[in-house]
Amino acid sequence: MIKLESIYKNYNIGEHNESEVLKNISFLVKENDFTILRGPSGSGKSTILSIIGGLIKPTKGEVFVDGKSIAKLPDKFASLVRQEKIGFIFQKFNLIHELNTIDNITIPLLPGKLSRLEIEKRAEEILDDLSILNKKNVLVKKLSGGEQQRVAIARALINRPKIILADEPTANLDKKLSLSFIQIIKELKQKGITILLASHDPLFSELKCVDNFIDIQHGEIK
Amino acid sequence: MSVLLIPEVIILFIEDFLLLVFNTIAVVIAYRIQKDFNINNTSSKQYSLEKQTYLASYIIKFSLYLKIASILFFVFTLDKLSTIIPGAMCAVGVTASSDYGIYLLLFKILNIYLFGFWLLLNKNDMNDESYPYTIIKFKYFLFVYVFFLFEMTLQYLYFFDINPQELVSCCGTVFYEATTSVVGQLTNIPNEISLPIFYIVFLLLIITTIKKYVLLNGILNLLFLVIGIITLISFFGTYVYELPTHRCPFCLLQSDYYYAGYAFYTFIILGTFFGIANAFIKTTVGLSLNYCKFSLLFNSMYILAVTIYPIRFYIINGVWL
Repeated sequence: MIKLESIYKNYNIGEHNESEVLKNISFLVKENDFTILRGPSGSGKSTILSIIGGLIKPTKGEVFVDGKSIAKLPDKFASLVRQEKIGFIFQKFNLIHELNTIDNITIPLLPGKLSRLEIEKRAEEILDDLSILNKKNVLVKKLSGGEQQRVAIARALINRPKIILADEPTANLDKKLSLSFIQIIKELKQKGITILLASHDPLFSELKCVDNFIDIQHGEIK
Repeated sequence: MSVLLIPEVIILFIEDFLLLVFNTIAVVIAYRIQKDFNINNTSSKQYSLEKQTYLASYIIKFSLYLKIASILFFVFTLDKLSTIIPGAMCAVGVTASSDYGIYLLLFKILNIYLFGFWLLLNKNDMNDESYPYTIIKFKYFLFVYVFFLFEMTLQYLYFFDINPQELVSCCGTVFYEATTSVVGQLTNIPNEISLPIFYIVFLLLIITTIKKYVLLNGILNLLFLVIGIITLISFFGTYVYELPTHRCPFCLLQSDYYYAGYAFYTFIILGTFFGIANAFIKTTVGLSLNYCKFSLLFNSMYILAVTIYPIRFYIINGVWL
């Protein structure tokens, strides 16, 4: 489902402050696997997720998402792959605070072919599954941290992705909300979604539903 | 009094200025892209260039749309100026009131084609994941920009050159049989020669479309454009006006003739555009666009639209003009 082959990533290439953040990263995530990328802050976990999500390109190496090579795909086409196959949950949720819950969730589908009515129906179903349907018209800045994260999850699910990428999703949550998030992730796995999650939260290390752990340190797999 | 203070002329100058600003931004970006763009490169410079290709593409697309609107507005302005320039009965007289007029009009039409070719190239480039035509399309834009500057300069020279106190010729004189101007002489090719050429070229267009002779089809489209306009002025137009001495390419656009000229020019420009674009892009970048059928469709619509006037006239009156 996700395959990385000898990925290198350098920033500021050719400049005095050039830095190598990923070195020879290769791994495979199979369909419906729940994989955790573990490692301390600054080890390169977010960069890996960004490369898989087509947000940035690797300096060297190949990335396959659902069989499609995306390493050198122009932004326009990478966005299409992301729109069709990937849901992204960010550490700081990256919600638009001036919009309400349902508008935040439906944004990824707006350039698509679905009617506004279909999009809202789909959004309401997801909000219902995540138990925040009653907050659909509330501005997200008025929601609690846990609720904001559910909105972020709902936004990641709105395009019915095959893959969920989550970057430090529990970093801003207390333990109770983190456990609640883990419960949601377990349910997503049961629905057949492939999950790749980057975290240094020890909570995830204890989980039995995780299929694979990948440890990253200083940009390399340990 | 100078024509420079006419509101429509001021609008044309403002529009020119806006296009100059936008296209100059696009040409700077185009220069950078054609110099450094490499789809296989993963440097931050390449990311930046990739984003800039989107920006430049939107600017050029916007320029084309503005230019299409602008050419219609230009003709409208010429028509309006005909009310203040002595001797001018329509846009033809105003065009002929300066030596630059006819060249300006030709450059305006030429540039619509050149910008259009760029857009077709861009569309095919952006739909391919490897962006195979990015460098060539921006090199081509550097070339188109020069034509754009020519057109803009001509427009300034033209409006500065018009003297509203000077008597000019009307369309009846410009295209009169005894005229010595190149355009006048072209439109005075006898109908017995120009009409068979017109229909034979169309027949050849059908054959080359069926046989998929792209290059030949492009050349024939160019010929069809020229002979199409000549016969429109010298023959078909007279049936629209129902007056054998009225030879004018612009009066057709007026409400008196139900704006028939807009349909004629739309059909022939679209038809020949797709045909010439097909050949041009095939020859320059080796890309087969398969637009010959569109070309034939619009050219056929043009043939039908212009042919119907003399036939209708003959059916009603029993004679030819």
